[in-house]
Formats: sequence, structure tokens, C-alpha cells
Amino acid sequence: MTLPDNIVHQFRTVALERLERVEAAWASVLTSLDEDAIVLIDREIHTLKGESRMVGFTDVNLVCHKLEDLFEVARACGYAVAEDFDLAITMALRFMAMLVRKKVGSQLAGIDLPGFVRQIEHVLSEARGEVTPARARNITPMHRTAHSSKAVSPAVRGRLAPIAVDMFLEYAAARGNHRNRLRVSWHSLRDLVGIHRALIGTGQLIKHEVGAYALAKELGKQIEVAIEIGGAEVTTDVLAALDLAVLHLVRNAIDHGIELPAERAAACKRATGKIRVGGGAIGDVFELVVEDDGAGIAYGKVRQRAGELGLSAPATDDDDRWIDLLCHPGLSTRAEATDVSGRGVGLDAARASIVDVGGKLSMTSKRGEGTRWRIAIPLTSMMIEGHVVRPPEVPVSVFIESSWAPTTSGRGTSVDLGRMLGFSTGDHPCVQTWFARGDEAFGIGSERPATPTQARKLVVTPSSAIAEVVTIDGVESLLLRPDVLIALG
Amino acid sequence: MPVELPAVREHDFEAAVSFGDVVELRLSGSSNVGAAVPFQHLVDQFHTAICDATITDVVVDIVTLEFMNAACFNVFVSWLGLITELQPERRYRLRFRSNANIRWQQRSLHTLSCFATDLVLIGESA
Repeated sequence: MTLPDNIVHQFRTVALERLERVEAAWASVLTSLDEDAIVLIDREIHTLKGESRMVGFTDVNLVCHKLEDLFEVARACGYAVAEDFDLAITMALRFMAMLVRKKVGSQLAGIDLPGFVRQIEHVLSEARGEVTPARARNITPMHRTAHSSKAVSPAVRGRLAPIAVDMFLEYAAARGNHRNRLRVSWHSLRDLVGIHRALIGTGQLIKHEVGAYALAKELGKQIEVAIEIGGAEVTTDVLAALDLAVLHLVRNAIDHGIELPAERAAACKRATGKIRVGGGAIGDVFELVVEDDGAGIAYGKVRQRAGELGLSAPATDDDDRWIDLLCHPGLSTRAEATDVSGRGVGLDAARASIVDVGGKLSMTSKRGEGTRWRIAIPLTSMMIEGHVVRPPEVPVSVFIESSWAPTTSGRGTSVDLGRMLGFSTGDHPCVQTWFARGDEAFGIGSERPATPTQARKLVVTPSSAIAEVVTIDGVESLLLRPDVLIALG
Repeated sequence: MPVELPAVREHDFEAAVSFGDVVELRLSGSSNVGAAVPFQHLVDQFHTAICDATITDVVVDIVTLEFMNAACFNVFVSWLGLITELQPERRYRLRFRSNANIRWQQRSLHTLSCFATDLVLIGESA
């Protein structure tokens, strides 16, 4: 069946507008994790997928489908996507625009649709590998984590950060093949110790629903799972920690909390147990709760098991004091380990992941009524206000925090940053730009006047370090600490 | 073809065209978001200059291009769009000279070639 030309023309016009909106929204997601933009993308692509099918643009329909897969993977990792993943998405949008524009019934002359789809599938398969490190161990989807854990302790990260800053400067100054090698080293260090932001919300944790229902079915239990998380910008470490904690706490709730239907009936409860995962940012803390209406913690059994293992149990029912015991590695009330539980590692892993990112796990439980786990993690502010300058001979822009204000005083310590950092020197035209904080002032040469801007933290160093790495509009730059420079003379 | 187009320099990213025996766009360094607009402008001007001459092939040398972000890489997509809008006899091909040791180049160029297999040729130089 051939559709009237005006219908096809209208489809083309509307489709191209949709694609433009999606491309703009995607840019907004990457720069500001804009939740409205995420909703818009989902809606527009899904609508375009339906419309393209209706008007017979099967090629557009196919790429839409692949694009939905790409966005699904991006969502799972909180939109902390690699640069080549971003490129795959934007190229898919452009590819679709080309398919929309081509003449009706025309051959795909020069356009390699199967080849393009293969490329997207390759990107998807690699990205899925990255976001599902547990897959290699052949376990259920519920075990998936949103982002691979870096396994670098805060202490090690603190020691590596200044080295990463040095590596960044070496890389920025290098040329040729030497620069290629340093780029790999810098990026490895950056990925290891840098702050990578991600979005957490219902979309990132909803995958646990599927695993929860599968596990309940396996155990002969009936459950209802409700996951509702308010969106917030966090680091990928926090996202990974929450993802892991929810995984273990939900599994724990199903395995140990929710009773079998007959037991629930005997206790005058609905046969279907309820599990709720909720939370969001409250002030500068991200709170997440996992609660169930199951049997609650059998303190007697735990006390007995602790005794068998030579551990001391709290004498009172003070819930917080039980956390240490419940999360003790190897403690389980199961007599034998199964493929679901019994090894006593779940709660330990959940708490360790939360503590690693500076959070706290607490719990309240009432026998016969259920258990409520609460996670609280302080949110890290990632944006810094300040000014950017461009010192000659230094290969990157330099950012000065807003506690230092530009001044015209011309008195104070003058810093030759190029010489200080060991870069080649020469007579480059620049203006001396002065900053002051209280009684302190310092001057730095700049090719341009200081411009107010915002920077995003990338590699954070102790306040005693001269510099750290930030990004300004996505460009890696150097945050300079003038007070440390002045102290060094 | 006595055309001179100013090179784009944004941090360490550089894009420069030359009209010698070979018509060439040479890219080096690592592009960031800020380079996209001037790079697009350069390619638009380059395309206009090429259209004024009789050229069948343009070399795009990215051997020393370490990284190109999505915004800049999409300039190539737009460029292909401009070429396909030309009459078939006036179209020219983009011969990419790439670096086999830089993984993103191979993948991105193969994806790009899917837009117009007859207009994108990929060669390696390292």
C-alpha cells in the first residue's frame, strides 16, 4: 500500500523535528543530567518508532529500536557514558535523519543500513559488558550492577590524585607519539581516581524488580515490588554502591523477610508480601529505604548463630547495634548455603559498598511486621564557581576558585606558572591578572582577561596540593590553589 | 586553486586545509566541544572551495588526531550530507588516512562509511 505524498511529507517534517529535539535533549542530558530531557528523549523516540512503522519507513523503525537499546544502556549507567558511546548515539540520530530524508521508494544507494546496525550492536555489546560485570559469572540479571566498581579505596585515591594531576599536565604539554602514550596513562588514572557523575533515579534501579520477581518465584513466594526514587546527580561510585546495596537488600528481604504464602496466611497477612524501595535527595544527603512487610529479623536465631561463631550479640534489641552483627562476614542463619543465600556475604557487601562512599546503613525491624533498611550518603557538590584564565606557555586553561576575586591592585605575589610547572618559556603577549583573598593577592599572566565561569570537579586533590583537574564546558582544565603557590614562594 | 582558508586551532586541536597536488584536510590533537563550530565553518568553506574546482578525491588525514568528540565528528556527517546534495558528477570522495593504533578512529570511520559507502574510503597509515 502506498501512502499519499502529503502523509509521507508530513511524517518527514515531523520526524526531522523530533530528531532535532532528541539531539538537543541528549546534549542536555550529558551536560546537566536533565531529567525532563530524558523523558523527552524516551517519548520522542518511541513515538517516532511507531510513526515510522506506520508510514513504512522500516529502516527508520529499525534504527529507532537500536537507539532505544542505546538509551536503555545509558540509563542503566546513570548516563555516565563513554565518549564513543555518545558518538554512537549522535551518529544514530544523524543516520536516521538521512533515512528520513531519502526519497520514497529510492534504493539505499551508498547507505549501508546492515553495516550501521552492526556497528551499533557492537557498541551495545561492549557497553553492556561494561555495565554488567557480573554477567561473566553467569548469574541472574538481578545481580547486574549499574557501573563497574573501581575497587580503589579513598586512601589510595587520595594518594594517586596528585600523581594523576602531574600526569594530566605532562599529557597536556606533550606532542606526537609521546602524547598518545601519555593520553592513555592520563585517562587510565583519570578513570581510576576521577569523579564521574551519574544520574540515579527509578530508571537506574528498576532492573531489580525483574530479578526480585524471578527470585520470589524460585522460592515459592509472592511479592509486590515498588521502586520509586527521586532523581539526583551523584558520582558513579555512589550509583554503583546504591545499586549493589539495593541488590543485596532486596534479595535479603525476599529470602529472609517475606514469608511463604501459607505462613503469611497463618499470620493473618496477605499472601503477597510487599517490598518498597524509595528515596531521593534530601538536602545534601541521598536517602534510600528498602522495606518489607515480612517476618522481621529473628534476633533469637541470629544470637544463637553468633554464639556458634564465637561472636557476641547485643544484649538489647537496639537495632543499630545489631547492624555490625548482621553485616558480619560469614554470618548467616541458614544452616547450609544455597545458590540464593547462606554464605553471609550479602549484607556485608551492601554495607561495605555504602561505607566506601562515606554513607551509613541503618535498620529497624519488628518481629512479624517487617524490616526497614535505610541508607544515607552525603551528596558531593560537583560544581565550583570561579574565574578562568589562560596563562601563556601553559597548555590548559587555569581555574581560580571564587574565594579569590579579580582585583586591579597589582600588589602581591606574581606567579610565572609556565616556569613553575616546567613548561618552555618565551615572550608571549599576555596581561597580568590579579586576584585577592583577604590580605593575600597574587598575579598570573593570561592571554585573556579573567572570565567568570563554573567548573566541574574531576580529579580532587587535598587542599595542600597546588592543583587539581576540573572540567570547564567539558574541557579538562587545571584548578590552581594560589594560597599553596604563595606559601611555596 | 589559489584558496587559502585559515586553520582552526582550539587548545591542541588543529584543522588545516591545503590545496597542493593533493587536496587535503589535516587534523591533529584532541578536539573538544569548543572546536565544533569553527571546525564546521572550516569544512563548509572547504566544501565551497572544492565545489568551485574539479576534484574527485579529498584526503582527510587524521593520523595524529588523538580524539574527536561527537560534536566535531558529526561535522563529517554533515559534510557527507553536503556532498550527496551535489549532482552525481560533481560529487567527490573523502579518503580518510587513519591511524591503525587509535581504536576509536577505526570504529567511528566504519560507522561513518555506512552513511555513504561510495563516498568514504578508509586507509591506514600507521
